Amino acid sequence: MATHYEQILENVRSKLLLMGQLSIDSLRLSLQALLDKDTELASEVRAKDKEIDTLENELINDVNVCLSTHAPVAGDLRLLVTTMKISHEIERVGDEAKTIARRSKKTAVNDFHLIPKMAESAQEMLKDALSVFVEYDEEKAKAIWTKDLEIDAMNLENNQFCQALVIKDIHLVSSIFELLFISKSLERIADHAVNISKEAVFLATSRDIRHAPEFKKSYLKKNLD
Amino acid sequence: MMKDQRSQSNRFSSGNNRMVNLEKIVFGITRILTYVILFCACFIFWDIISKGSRKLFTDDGFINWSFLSESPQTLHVIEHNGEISKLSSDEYFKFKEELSDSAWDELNSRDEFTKVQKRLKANLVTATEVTSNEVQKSLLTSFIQDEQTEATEKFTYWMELLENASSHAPDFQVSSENMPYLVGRFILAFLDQTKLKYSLLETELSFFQALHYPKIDHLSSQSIQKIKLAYFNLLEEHLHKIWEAYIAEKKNLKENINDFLQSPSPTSFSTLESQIIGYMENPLLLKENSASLLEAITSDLQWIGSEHRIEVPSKDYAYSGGGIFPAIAGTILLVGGAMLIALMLGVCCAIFLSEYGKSGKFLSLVRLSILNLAGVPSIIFGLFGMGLFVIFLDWNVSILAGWFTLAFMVLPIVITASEESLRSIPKGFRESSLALGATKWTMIRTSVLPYAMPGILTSAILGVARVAGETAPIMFTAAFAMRSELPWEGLEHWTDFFFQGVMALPYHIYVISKIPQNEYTVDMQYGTALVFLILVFLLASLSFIIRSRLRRKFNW
Amino acid sequence: MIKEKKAPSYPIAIDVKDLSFSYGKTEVLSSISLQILQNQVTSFIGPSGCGKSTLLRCFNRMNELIEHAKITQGSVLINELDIYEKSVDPIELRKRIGMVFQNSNPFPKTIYQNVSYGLKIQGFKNKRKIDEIVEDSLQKAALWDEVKDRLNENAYELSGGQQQRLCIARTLAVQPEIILMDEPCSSLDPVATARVEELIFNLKQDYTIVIVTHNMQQAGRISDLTAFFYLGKLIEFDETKKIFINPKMQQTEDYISGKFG
Repeated sequence: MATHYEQILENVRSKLLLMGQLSIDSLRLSLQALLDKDTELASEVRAKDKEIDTLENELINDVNVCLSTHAPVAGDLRLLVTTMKISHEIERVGDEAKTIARRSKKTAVNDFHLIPKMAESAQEMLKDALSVFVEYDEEKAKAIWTKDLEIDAMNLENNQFCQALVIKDIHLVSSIFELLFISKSLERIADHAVNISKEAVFLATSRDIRHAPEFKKSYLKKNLD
Repeated sequence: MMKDQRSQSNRFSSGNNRMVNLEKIVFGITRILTYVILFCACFIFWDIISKGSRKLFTDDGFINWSFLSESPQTLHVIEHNGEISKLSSDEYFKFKEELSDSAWDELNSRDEFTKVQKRLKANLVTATEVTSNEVQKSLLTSFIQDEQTEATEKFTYWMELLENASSHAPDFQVSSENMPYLVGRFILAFLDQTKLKYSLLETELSFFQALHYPKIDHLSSQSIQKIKLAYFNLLEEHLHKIWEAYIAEKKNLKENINDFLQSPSPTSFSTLESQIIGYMENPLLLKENSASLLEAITSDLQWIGSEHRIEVPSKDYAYSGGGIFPAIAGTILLVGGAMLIALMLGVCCAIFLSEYGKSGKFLSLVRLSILNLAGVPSIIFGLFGMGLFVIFLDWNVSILAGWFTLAFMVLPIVITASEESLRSIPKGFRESSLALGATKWTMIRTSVLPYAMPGILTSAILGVARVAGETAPIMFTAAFAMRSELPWEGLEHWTDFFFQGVMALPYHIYVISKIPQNEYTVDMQYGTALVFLILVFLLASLSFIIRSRLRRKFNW
Repeated sequence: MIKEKKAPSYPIAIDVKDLSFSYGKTEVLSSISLQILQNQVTSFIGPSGCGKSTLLRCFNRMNELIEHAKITQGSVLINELDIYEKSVDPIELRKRIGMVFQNSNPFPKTIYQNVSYGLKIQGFKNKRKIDEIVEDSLQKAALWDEVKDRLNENAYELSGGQQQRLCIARTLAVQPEIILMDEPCSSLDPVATARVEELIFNLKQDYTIVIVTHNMQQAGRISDLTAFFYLGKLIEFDETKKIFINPKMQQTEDYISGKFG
């Protein structure tokens, strides 16, 4: 039977995973809202974001209490610290999903080019990042970073596509801007997923690789090519 | 290189030789003193053991049980057939008896003896011939009449004395008030003297005395007359009882005569001899005018006696023979009882001092007094015991007085040691016990006292050694120099056990040391001392065993 | 707006009203007022000599054993009855309030005899009932599995942590309502301490627990309410979470962060 303290930690972990799941759902719903131009889905996304925010507050409070009363060390301390940081990232992902849903109402464009693919990829990255958090898998983590490079590439391509669209039809410029922003949001979501995975690496290995030179994008790119 | 090493070692070697030498000297002195003490202790023990074991162990090496189980007796040293042997009184008498037995056997075989026996038989038969009852009775009556006449003369004499009290006063140096009292005492003394040898009448006479003695307080010529009449009545009344008693005596005499004549032996001879000699004065049992016969009988008896009784001259030494069993028993009783009383009183006092007492001036005063008690000389305890228990409480010299005196003597040791051991129980036991809802006494009884027991029994060990060895306290309160009965013998009522004195080993050693020293008494002294040491050691190890078992049971 | 969940309110087990206590002429506690809540763990923290153990011992009148110790003002109410009134028997009081001490001191008897001691002195005779209560107490003290085969061994054969749990079982056997603990883990190693703390957490469902501790982290881990004492005064008394995250008094914060004491 788990002790009281172990229960507290388990509680924190489950809340974080719940937040993560909510954010993935948010993202999926926002994409759906974009493709189907469904305003109801958009408001659902907004509601989910509120839930994510509430959960984040609770989580921060719980972590604070646990840190002050139990003074954990080693793995438990890393868990709590990374939980706080990952919850922030997830909260940002929720915000980005909300933005996407908001912008999807304003765009009238029908051809989304690579955006669905990006969203799909971003969702997978989030899922993978959370699973690396739950169970450390170095290969999976590396795959996430590789995927991030792909999303960056797709974002650039979207920009070029949008530029071409604007030249074609100058009256659609506001809609196309929305599209650009949506693409940017997705790229940011991917970055958040990468951050989550890096925190997960810290949790598992206590190596802080956020700013390590060998994980900079340029370096990764070089090695890929 | 070598020089460096040397200077290196010199840096750490002590340069101060004077201190080193001083230390060596001090160490040497302490060592020597310790060895001296050890040597003296060994010498003392060796002395006692070697001299005492002469008495304690027989020549074969087994324990001399007779030494430990008999009472002290006089030692008789005899020389017989060139051999010197040491015998206790029992052995001495037995030895003499055996000798007379063998002499008797030798006598029996002689012709002279047969002749004497025949003569004796004839004389005895003639002397104890049955006279007719009437003659005997008249003899008895005349004897009683003689008694009465004599009594009358005496009574008259005392009556005259009474009537002429004042004229005889200077002779008797009594006042007229005391005269009746004294006269009464004289009369009774006279009455005592007229006691006939028949025990029946003796009993009656003492009742008579009891009955009439108070009346003699207010003596007058009338009351003297009354007493005289009563006395004569008594004689008349008990005439038939006297007669029956006389018949029984005669029968007894006849039986003894027959015993001797049929199967002569030293025992039957001595019985007959004592009876005949006793009756020489009493004409009633033997034929009248048998004085010459009696003479012949007596001379024959004397001849037989001298022939078979062999005198064995002996040198007697008091207390040097026999054993010391009563002393051992007495010491064990005294020590056991005293320690029980001391433990009970001491433990209660220690509990009060350590648990219930409020610290302050009063308690410090109590503790100071107890410590002072430890320094009081033991003879003072003896006098205290005598004053309080023997005289004031009227217990007389008794085991009870000895118990209490010894208990008081050892009380300081018991109290201080018990208090120490009670204090050494960790506070935690008390607190946990109280926190579970125990009253103070329950707490003491269940979680303090049992674990303090080993310490308390340690004090018992110390106390036993002290109590067993003290002479002065028991000298006045419990000890007898010599007592023929063991403490559990001769008791009419079970409470008498506590009110009798006993012999005790330390006092016994004192007693045998007072008599003149010679080779025999030395043996006895050292033997007693050795037994005493062993006894104290055994008593102490008993407490030791109890303590270690308790320690194992209650170990914490 | 962060909405905090409203904590359920617990009834008051011990109500201390303006209590002052002194040993002889030295005042050890001044004007202490606090409420111990039922089925909650309350911890007393503070530097050495600040009076927390003294206050604890006031609750079961153990201070009466020390000479010249007396309450100079105030009262201690349990179930609205002042326990220092003449009509209250301290022996009965101590059966309702158990105490566990710093140095675990089981009696040098067997394990069974230790646990059944409190029952025996109350006069329980029914052996089966005693067996039941002994097993129940040892279960509650999380010691049953380790000693059920050796109830007749001497208690001193157990390890330090087991001995302390035995003392707790001994206290539980008397079925008190409130359990007072005076630094119960201070002589135990971390593993034994963790087990005792887990035990305390489980016990609070059935008992009210007050624990004095030198170890702040312990107070943080197990207690629901914490009282901080300093030099005989109650400085702060609040929920543990609040004290450890944001204490109201500066002294409390200094003590908790280890700046003194």
